[in-house]
Amino acid sequence: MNGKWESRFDPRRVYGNKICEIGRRRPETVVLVADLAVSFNLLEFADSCATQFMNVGVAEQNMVGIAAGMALEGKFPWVNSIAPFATLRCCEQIRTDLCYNNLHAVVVSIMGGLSGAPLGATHYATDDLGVLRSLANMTILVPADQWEIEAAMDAAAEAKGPVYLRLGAGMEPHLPMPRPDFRIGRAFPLREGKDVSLIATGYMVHKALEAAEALEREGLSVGVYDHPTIKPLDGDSVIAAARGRRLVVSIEEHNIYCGLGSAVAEVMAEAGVPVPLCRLGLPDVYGSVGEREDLLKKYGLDAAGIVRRVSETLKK
Amino acid sequence: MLTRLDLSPNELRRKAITIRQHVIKMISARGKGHTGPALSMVEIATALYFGVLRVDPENPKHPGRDRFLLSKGHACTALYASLAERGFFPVARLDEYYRLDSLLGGHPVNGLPGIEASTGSLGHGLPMAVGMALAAKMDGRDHRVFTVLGDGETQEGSVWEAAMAASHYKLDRLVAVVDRNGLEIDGPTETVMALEPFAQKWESFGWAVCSVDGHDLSSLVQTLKSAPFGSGKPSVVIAKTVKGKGIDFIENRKEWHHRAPDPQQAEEAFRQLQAQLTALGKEAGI
Repeated sequence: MNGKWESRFDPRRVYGNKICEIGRRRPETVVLVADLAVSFNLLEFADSCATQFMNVGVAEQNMVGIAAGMALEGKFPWVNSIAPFATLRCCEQIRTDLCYNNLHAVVVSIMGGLSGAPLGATHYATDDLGVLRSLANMTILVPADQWEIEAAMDAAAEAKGPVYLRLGAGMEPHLPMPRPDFRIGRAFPLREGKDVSLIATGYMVHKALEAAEALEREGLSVGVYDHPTIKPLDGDSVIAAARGRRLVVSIEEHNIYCGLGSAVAEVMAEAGVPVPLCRLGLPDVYGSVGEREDLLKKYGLDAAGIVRRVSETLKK
Repeated sequence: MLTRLDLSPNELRRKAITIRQHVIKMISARGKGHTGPALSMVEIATALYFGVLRVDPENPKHPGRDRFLLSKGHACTALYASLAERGFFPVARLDEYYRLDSLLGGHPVNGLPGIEASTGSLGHGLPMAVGMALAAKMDGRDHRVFTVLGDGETQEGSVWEAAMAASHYKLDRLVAVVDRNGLEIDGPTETVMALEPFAQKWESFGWAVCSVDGHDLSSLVQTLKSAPFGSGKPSVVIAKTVKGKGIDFIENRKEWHHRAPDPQQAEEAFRQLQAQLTALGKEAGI
């Protein structure tokens, strides 16, 4: 890997740069914002692809409706907002206008999970995955680093129906290992382990890797599975990760209900894999006030918290 | 080939009665449907499909066609009947209304010839129409985009988000028609949540407004054809209508928002519509 993996990256910068490339490559691309062009690092796009850019003001419902109308006319819209507003304010427009009509459009959020901290739970998204996972036709992508964001955006551009792309905010690290081609619906096994499998998505993949190393030092063999696609979930990977292990742990910056953990549980139960599952996430609460890392620690979503939960569960 | 029909006033009125007959037939046959809202917009639909819209029933996706979105999707039987009469699909297909896996559901479904999108969730049609008009403007295409809203529907905030955007982007190929029948499910709009002064609301959002008698076909056709009413502005037609228009025991009764005529009522409705046809025939000297 080259030097860029050493440094951290800002998901918004990566997004803003990559969308310029997609916009130039695909002239039918239209980028819509609800007064957050700066937050999404979209000024370059607004400048270099001016005719493909539209600011609809603080009106997310209208933004998604407009996007649907454009998609009906052959445009390829990307709608952008802070995660709860990109997904929940306009949830019914996403459902009815985009998903029911099965239109090719990408809903992009920043501040996914707790990355909007310390703005408070109005600006956290810990329920977006669960809500959108229940919408038919929807694809859900939660990339874990720069390479996955760029690859996910290329994949979203080639997809058929509506796609949700959940990004963080603030500086995030790169994953140290190369991965094969990105495909929607494919998980990446990042390390193998015989005892415990950690199944994670987005920023939590980094915490899972850190936790796996710590657990390894305690004598456990721990695998880590990176799921940049939440829907459709890579069920084969989940089953392979679960079979014969002592414990499976799902880790997500989301309520423990309805997100990755629920999806993993569904797959394991239907496949009849008799292995205990721990779902790590927010315990059905709204995120508290604090910095992201402090919140992750509070909810046991940092490496130490994951290690603690694994150790406790295995002792039972 | 794209065509805009040019029916005589008498032919237009006959067409409207025929569409009402289809509406009553569909709804009474299945025992379910939004009778009042469909009947109130029959002249609006008739004016659009038989005097205003440039469409090609043989090629429903013709790129140059005028677009039509029924935002008040619950009035879909009036749309299905208009599409069938205009030749988008055989009239016999109206019998599929509410049948299992049919494309003639209780709200428009994407896939039926002539339907641009699945609609019917109130407050969604105008934003989508704005998107369609914006896409056309971006590509320099000059077809028009029409949408029909219910008046109660305009209590949805998303309507006004879209209204603001339409004038901001100077979408003068966009025409909204509000079926101003004055009644919503729970009663008069002015009692439930007052809309007046309605025209001023649209004007203040930057729209060119025209108020018409929503059952006067000639004036509807003339008005709709003449849009945009103001240069660089989106146009709205406030069509004053009577909910349940055409059947005396259905007119202006809120309980007919979502109710189907029973067999006796249907028979009476057909009798009234036939009488209207006969009167028209006499008027035309047939």
